[in-house]
Amino acid sequence: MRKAGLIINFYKSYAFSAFAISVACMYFPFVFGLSTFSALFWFKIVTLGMIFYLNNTYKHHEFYYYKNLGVSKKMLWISTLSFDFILFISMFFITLKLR
Amino acid sequence: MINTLEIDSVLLEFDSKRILQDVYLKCETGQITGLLGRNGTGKSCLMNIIYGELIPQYKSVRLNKISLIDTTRNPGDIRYLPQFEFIPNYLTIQRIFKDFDLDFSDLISHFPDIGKYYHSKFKNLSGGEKRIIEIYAILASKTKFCMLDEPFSQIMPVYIEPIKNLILREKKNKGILITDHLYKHIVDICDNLYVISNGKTYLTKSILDLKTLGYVRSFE
Repeated sequence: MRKAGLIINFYKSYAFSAFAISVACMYFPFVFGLSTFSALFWFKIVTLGMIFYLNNTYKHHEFYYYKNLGVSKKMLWISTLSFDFILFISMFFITLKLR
Repeated sequence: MINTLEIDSVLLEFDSKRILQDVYLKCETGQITGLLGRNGTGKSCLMNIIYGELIPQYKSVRLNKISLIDTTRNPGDIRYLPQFEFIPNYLTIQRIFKDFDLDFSDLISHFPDIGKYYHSKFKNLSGGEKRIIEIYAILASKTKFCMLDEPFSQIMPVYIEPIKNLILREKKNKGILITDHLYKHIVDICDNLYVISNGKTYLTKSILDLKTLGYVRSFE
């Protein structure tokens, strides 16, 4: 449970920007439908790649905090990026249903 | 129980420039092990190698005779205070103390000025206050060994003695590896003192060795 709390704390550090991108993307499936999936899929991948790069470049010192508490950098990224991507895919299909 | 942390057989090169080549260092529960050396001699690199953050060409790091092969480190075994700020600014002091399972009243007993910040975010503290929180978090949390890289830097003189007292208190429960260029404080508190020179570690027998090994020119 403690590790989950630490991972959530880490996710909070970039959750707003990642979620804002996901919400903005939902305009396209709402208006143009399923055909936008491929383009949005790659767009989301690229933006998550940028978030990964910027955090690793400008906030890499903070990974010592999590390592000192038993959570590795790999664990932080795999869990939070996976969650954010699954959230994005879920939002996409929910948006299609709401059309 | 006496725990032992040992490192040897280190070969570290950057672009064919050899930084560390003949290293032996031992740290035990109940002992403060000092590590001194001129700038660029590889003190922080050595700590990062022990902590698994830097992969050298060769190394042998052993905790109680068991090799630490991969880069993961159990916080119950070893924690590391790097020389730079490492606690995320968006966390509150309350959150940090909860994460490290620490008692805030104990911190206040050593550093009364910090008491008012319990509900503040880390980013609202000054550089020196942040450093005190970082030192305390690594030093006072439960672990077998802790490594402190320049703990006295950025600290105002009035807080140097409380930090030294805290280090002396904590050595009863753990082994402490410490490096800082304010070497007199290190000499004051350490039980063993190593100097890195020309990529090698030397266990000093007296403070005069610091001059012989080129770390100081004179003692003032």
